[in-house]
Amino acid sequence: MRREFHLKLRVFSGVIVLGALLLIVRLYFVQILHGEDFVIRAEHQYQSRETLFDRGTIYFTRKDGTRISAAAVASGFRLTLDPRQIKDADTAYAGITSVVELDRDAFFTAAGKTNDPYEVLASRLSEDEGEAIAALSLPGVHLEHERWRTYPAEEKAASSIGFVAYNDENTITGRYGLERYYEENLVRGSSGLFGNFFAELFANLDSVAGDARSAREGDLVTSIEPSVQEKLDQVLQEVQDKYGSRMTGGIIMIPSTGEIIALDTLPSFNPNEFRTSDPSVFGNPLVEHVYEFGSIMKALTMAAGLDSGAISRGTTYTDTGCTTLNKKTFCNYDLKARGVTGMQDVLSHSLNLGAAFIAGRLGHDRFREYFTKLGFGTETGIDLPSEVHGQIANLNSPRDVEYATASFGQGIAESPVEMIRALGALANGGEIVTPHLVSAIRLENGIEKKLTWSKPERVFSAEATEETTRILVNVVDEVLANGTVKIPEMTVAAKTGTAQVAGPQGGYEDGKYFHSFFGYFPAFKPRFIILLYTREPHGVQYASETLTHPFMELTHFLTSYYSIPPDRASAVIPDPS
Amino acid sequence: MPEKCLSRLLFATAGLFAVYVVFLITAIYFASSATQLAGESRSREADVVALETEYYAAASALSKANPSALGYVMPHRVDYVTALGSPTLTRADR
Repeated sequence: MRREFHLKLRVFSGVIVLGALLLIVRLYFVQILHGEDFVIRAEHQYQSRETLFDRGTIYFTRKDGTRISAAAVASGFRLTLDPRQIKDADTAYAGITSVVELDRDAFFTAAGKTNDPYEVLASRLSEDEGEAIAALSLPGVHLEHERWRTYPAEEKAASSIGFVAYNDENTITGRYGLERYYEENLVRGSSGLFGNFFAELFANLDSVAGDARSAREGDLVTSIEPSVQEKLDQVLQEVQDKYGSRMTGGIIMIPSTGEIIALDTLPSFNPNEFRTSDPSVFGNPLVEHVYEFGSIMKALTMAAGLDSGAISRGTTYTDTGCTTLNKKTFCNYDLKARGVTGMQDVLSHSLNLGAAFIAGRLGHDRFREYFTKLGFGTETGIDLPSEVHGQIANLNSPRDVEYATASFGQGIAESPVEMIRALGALANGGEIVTPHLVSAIRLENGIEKKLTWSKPERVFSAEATEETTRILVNVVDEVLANGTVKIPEMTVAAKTGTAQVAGPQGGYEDGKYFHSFFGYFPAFKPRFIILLYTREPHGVQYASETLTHPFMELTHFLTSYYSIPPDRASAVIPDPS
Repeated sequence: MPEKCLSRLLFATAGLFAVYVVFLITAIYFASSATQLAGESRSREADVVALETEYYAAASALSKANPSALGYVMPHRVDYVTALGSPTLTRADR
């Protein structure tokens, strides 16, 4: 019995020893005979880990809710050469150029470096091109998987989407726009890219175990509508080309939510080719620059006057054409005195003295309080980096003239996004909202996390904004382009603004103007608010000349595209519901 | 008694080892499949991106096209009607 036991023990030991011997032999082959090959293969895998990057997608959202990439990751191949393994350079060159174009001199220079095991011939080959070259099985010609950031929308909203680039630490990160603002959400590890399962498993053990990253990493879902964005870009380009402006910009926002469905400035750039673009256009003037917007501010002054009770729709004042406050004289745009003038005419004829009259009725404290509540002088909190706040230091002055000029949009400066937030109060029953671009983050596990933005804040009463809106509708129906742009079936509230441009030495420059235009529709239940501006257009003085038709073109487009029903018409049918 | 115990332990070890190997093979198989599918998914995503780029170009061309040049004509007359009871109607016409 004991002998039988010893026999079994020996057999068992023999099996273990045999197994160990096999392992030793295998290790000899792996480490001694083929060690160099495995080192090269391992290095290639390590290299892949370094270069194959992954990143969340940024989506535009079409009106039907479908999504389309504005920033995504493309994959393809990098073509490399190991000159030591090249047997026939001519054949290799002919094979490669049958699929992709390649500079002959560059190829043969690389092929001639017989002491160099690694030469890059071409990058960002498509999957089809890579597979076609791989099928040729050319000795010494290698293909490595490669992934890179791509922007299918190209110039559209480029300064707001931003782009990724290497930072000082040689890491690819978001440098501008949403790419930068949402870096923590967009950044990803290089998971799922290895050919080697074990490398994959052990390299990503942290993510297997689960950590806080999975709760925030994902794709961004923006409210930008690609067709509206396309239309806005087209309209802005027409203005820019026609008037040779220094800059033209625009924002289209849903006033009730703050969701921005299109925004852009020109000149712009293609983020796919940012290396060859002018870096001065990488920033986003919509949030990073402030301007004196001029007369569109009068609509807010009017609402403040009506809301406070300082004026009513029937209030009149005596318009003298020019007036002097604190030894400073300012006038109406045409220098004309209109005598006894009503509040409708203040906006219809954009009268500076009328706005100053309302500011005077309000008084310093109430005027400052309204403009502060409108968010002037504070950042809006929009989800874009490097936002600046407006300059309203003049509203701390004891001098009447500062309040008078602020009432018609001079002497205080705001960013375009700050301006549309404030104007949005007129289109949202008196409440301001937080403008934003991203509505949700789609996590990698498929869950969509809706982003919540700060609650609307009331500035004006609904009655005051409705009264102001009624005045603005009259501006469009009767005065704007002499009433020729009136839409019989749709109420549109709008106002133009023409401001002088401050020079670097202080004071305003002759012949340089900043044109602005805002409007919303349907006026009494607005779906959209539009803000347009063009900086230093040539050959024109007033915004009514440059921006009226672009605004109306956008209005007609949005009305048609979103099938917005008419809110006034001669024919009335019973509601079927 | 010890012999019987040893035999049982040997069988148990062999059985557990076999189960371990099966689990290992299964894990490797599914993990490899997952890795491969992830790679294919990335490739398809890249294809979609290429299509999206084409879509943007087509949409841009379409947006810039002059409808008249494409043979479309403006309607001679357009009438709009508003449903009675629409809350915006009374406000607008006040």
